[in-house]
Amino acid sequence: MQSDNREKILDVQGLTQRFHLNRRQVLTAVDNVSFHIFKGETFGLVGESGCGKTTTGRSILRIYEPSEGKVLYKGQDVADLKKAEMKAFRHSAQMIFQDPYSSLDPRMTVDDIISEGLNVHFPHMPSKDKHDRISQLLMRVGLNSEHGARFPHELSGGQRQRIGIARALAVEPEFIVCDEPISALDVSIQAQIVNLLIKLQRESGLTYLFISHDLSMVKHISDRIGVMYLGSLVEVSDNKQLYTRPLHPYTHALISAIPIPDPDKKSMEARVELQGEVPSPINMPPGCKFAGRCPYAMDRCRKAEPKLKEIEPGHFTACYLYENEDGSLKDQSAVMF
Amino acid sequence: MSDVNTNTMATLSPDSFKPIPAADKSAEFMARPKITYWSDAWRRFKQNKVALVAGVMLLLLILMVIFGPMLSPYAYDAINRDLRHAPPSTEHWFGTDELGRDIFTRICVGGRVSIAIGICGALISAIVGTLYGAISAFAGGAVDNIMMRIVEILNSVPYLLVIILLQLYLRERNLGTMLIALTITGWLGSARMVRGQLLALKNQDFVLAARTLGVSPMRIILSHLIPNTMNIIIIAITFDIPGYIFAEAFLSFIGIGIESPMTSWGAMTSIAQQSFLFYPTEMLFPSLMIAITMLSFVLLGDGLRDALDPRLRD
Repeated sequence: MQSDNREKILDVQGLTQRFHLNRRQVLTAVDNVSFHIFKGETFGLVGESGCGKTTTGRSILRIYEPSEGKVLYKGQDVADLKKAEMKAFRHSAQMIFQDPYSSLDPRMTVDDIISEGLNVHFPHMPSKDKHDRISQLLMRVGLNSEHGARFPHELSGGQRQRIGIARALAVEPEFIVCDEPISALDVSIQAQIVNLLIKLQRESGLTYLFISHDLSMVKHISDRIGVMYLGSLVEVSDNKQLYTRPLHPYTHALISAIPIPDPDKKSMEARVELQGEVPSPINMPPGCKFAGRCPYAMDRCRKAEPKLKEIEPGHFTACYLYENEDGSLKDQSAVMF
Repeated sequence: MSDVNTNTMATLSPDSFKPIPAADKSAEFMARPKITYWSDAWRRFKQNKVALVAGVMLLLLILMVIFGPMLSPYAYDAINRDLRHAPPSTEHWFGTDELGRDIFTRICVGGRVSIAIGICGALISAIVGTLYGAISAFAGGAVDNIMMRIVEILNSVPYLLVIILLQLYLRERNLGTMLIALTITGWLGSARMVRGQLLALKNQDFVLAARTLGVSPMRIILSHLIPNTMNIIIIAITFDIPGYIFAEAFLSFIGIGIESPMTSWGAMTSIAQQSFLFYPTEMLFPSLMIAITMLSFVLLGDGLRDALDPRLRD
């Protein structure tokens, strides 16, 4: 396959993140998730609230210590990094946060916020250079240097998010986890921020892990997309394939739920309506997590969890609809949807 | 319709289109000079006239208790049997008490005790409480649980009982033992408050962002956690001071406070209370001092709370 030749910047292998709520209850926020991101691409991670998208992003950046599994960044396990290597990792991998209100310290001016990373990674930078750098960064994210003297509460949501982006860019990272960077913003501002992210990617060859629950926005920005449901990755695919031919029943339901902004155009297929609610991720029973809501669920689905398998080139899904009892893939024409 | 269309089309040429000049960039220019957090807080504090007056009042009071006795020719414990219960006069500004001692001098000397207990008590309880709360919040888990249960147990013991037992145990009653007695349970409130604030801050996104940037834990504490907790600590101190002054006055009033001949405002009101109906001024002056001091600290605390919150900036 052609895509395998590209350099993997991030390789997540069997990442599991459990939180012990008390002695009996264990919340499995991320369950055995594996995917990789190629250098320079945007990998979109979608799923509904509470499905573990944010936790995945945070575990990758080692804000949480993973319970199981590995996160390989440029081939090195992030959990094994020594102090100096960890500093280099912090220099190279950054995060943009969801809530532009709580992600900026209310006590600091914009200048102080942006220079925080510079102080760590460029401690000997003369203050004049630092100042120039901050003005440059502010320009790059579409603000101007006058904003530097302000406090976060004097800025609008979109401006704050731009500051969050400038803070991440200050240390010149190669890889940025964008944790729902647009979900707290107005639609018109969302487009501005997404276009800014695309522009910055073109300028500096950044790699993004773009976490969102907004499927149409993910379609706009991503090269490849992973769909999460209740802590598990159920489908990974190229952007186009996912929207034209979703394989997993959950993805299918998600995509059919995207509103079409044209009243004259009818949805190609009837909307798939899911029954029931997302079950609690505390003390999950075995089997496919989607089985309780899946219109195609079989006995087999409730016994063991399906593994992610490549159904078409570059298109993976974790669903028994596509494989025989012995684990071999079914003939594609025999699959019903 | 089509006629109109073709007509308009004909009159439009590429020359009719001109680029609109880019939006004026200087629209975002800020005339205000850059200021730091603390100078901004000071600027806002100065605008609050009530708090400023309260601050000046306190300054005058502190100067009075320090230098007042030097202005007066009488010693605070000099007894004059010929001039008992004298009314205010040019000789004795605030009059004399039942033993003929000068009340102005005694108010100054007693004020030292009251204000010292107020400030020291509030500082000690703030420091102990902050350290305890910070350790509890950072350790988390079982340590946090045990430390907070200890606070709850101590909190449930009536503090008057603790103080009386402690006074009996320590045998003497002076400034030091009063401070110990009052602060032994006084730090509990600030410990809980600081712990709550730090727990809330610890998981704020800006702390996570600092961690992602590789900022060291020490630096996170110094640049994010302490500044964001400082305002509530400062405010707690200013609101605690009148509490301690009043607690001392109350203990002296019921007779388990400062011992004679040393005095405090509370002890003075306690003595004056016995002859209040005949010599009301003897009670008026010390109670007025307690009232003015407490009011000033409360107003100052209000002003500081407003000044230290940048979100209230106008």
